[in-house]
Amino acid sequence: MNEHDPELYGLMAEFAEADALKTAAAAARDAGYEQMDAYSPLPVEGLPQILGMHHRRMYWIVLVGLITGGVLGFGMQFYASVIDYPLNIGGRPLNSWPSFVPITFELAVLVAAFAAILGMFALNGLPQPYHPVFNVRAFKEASRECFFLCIQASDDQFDLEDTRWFLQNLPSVKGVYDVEP
Amino acid sequence: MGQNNETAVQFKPLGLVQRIAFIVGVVAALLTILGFFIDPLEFFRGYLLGYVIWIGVALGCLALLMMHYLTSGPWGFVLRRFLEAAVWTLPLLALFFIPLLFGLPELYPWARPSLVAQDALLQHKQPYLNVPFFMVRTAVYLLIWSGMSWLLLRWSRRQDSSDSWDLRDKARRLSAPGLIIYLFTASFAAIDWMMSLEPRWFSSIYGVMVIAGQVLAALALATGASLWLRRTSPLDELATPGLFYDLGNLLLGFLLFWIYLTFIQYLVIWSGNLPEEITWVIRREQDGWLWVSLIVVLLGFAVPFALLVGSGFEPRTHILRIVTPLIFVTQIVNVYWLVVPAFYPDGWHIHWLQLTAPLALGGLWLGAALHYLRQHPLLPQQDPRLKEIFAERERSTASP
Repeated sequence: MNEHDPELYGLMAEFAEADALKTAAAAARDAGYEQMDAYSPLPVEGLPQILGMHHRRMYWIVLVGLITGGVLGFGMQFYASVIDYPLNIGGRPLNSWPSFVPITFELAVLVAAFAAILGMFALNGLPQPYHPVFNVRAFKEASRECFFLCIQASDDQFDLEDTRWFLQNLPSVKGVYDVEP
Repeated sequence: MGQNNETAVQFKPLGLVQRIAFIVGVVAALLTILGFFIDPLEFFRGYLLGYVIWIGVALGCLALLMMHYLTSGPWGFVLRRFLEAAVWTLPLLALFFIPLLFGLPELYPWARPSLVAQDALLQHKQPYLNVPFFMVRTAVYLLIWSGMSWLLLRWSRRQDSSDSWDLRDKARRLSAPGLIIYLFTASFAAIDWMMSLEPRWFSSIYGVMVIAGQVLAALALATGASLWLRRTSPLDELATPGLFYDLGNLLLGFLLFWIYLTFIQYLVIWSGNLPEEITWVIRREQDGWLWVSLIVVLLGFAVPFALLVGSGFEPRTHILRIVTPLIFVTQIVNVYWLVVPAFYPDGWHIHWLQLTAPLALGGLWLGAALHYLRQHPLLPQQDPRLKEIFAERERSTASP
């Protein structure tokens, strides 16, 4: 069962429709495959769950960014107008918190947005100059109109013949390709 | 109306809820009428509070129904019947205004000639704030809303036995100008009925702020009702967790819109600190009113916002079961917070008529709305756009 082909990154199946990809991913998961990834030109609702991407790390990164930005925004204004340069403006209290709210909000959103972008790059491993999936000639369609499911050779269940047979027999599969490492 | 009885909702608790609503409504109404003879002044205050609460919910539903016709998304079909049931009560609510006509001098300082005679500012506002013009404006608002409600429901009822696009197009052609008309009439109604309780004070954002609260309360109510009945046929064919996730996002949007307007009004008045503006804010920051303000901001915004924003795809449905009643109830408190401090400038005070009158109007209102709901299937199954949505969904789930 467990004979890995060291020459291969994995096997890739091509589909014409998002739902065929979803069906295929569900079938592969049910067959016990874990080391796999799906490629699609558009977001497919429900696919991350099928692929077992349940983690919510991005939520926490963005939340930390949000709180940092908020504290920073309020802190800057508080420091400037209460501690560093107290100034009587129209008889208002030095800590005029209602007028600090817009800037606090803006900075919270700004830092949260940066946290989202940087966190996204940190978690998805981009930029990545080389990836084996691009060795498949048909894969250039992944950003236009075709859908791909790649089962990696590192999976415990991976067997060149069995996996190829499994992929070829998936409903509405357009082609199965070897992925050179 | 009875021709759809065989497909209408055969869901037992609905009948039970309707009966409870009617009983509560009638008992509270009797107490309220009794209250009129004990203390007419407090009767009118309580009645006005109850009235603006429930017509606000019905108007929010009218706005959402017209948004549904204009956008045609599946989320609207999940809510459609609940919105229609609320909109159906608008002609009834128009009649409910009549008792208030007899209490104008009790409620509104600008309607008391002795007070106006001493007050140059109120004299200056007389061309707008006077009793006959107030009555004419109110009649115009109520007629426009009842007319739009009647037309939309008439077409929707005919749609139940026809799948032609004509009826839907008619509703769309009404909804586009209808939403603009709603924005103006509801805004002026808020100014007339609520803002003019404190006639020296003014805020140009007030109408939109009230409207945002109305739509938020309506969306919370309709989403909660639809969530409660989502396993009932035929609603179960359409109501998926995905749609409730979308409705949660919509709720989040209106929640932010409402709190934005509320806060901006506060910020502008607080920064300006002008005597004729700041009194309204100070009144709501003093004594017990501060607690009411904090309940509105924390339970009405902060808690539901955090719960909605933090909930992923799967837990959203469960979160909505807590969040929708919370938003609905706090929006009622919000109306209370806008209206009642005008009556008690010296500190927080509640009169029992402010409980019975909203309960009376709310019980009768809910009973009437449920009457409509029980007569019709929970989805407009003949609607051509709904058929399209089902066809699209079938195509995308059919295994190839």
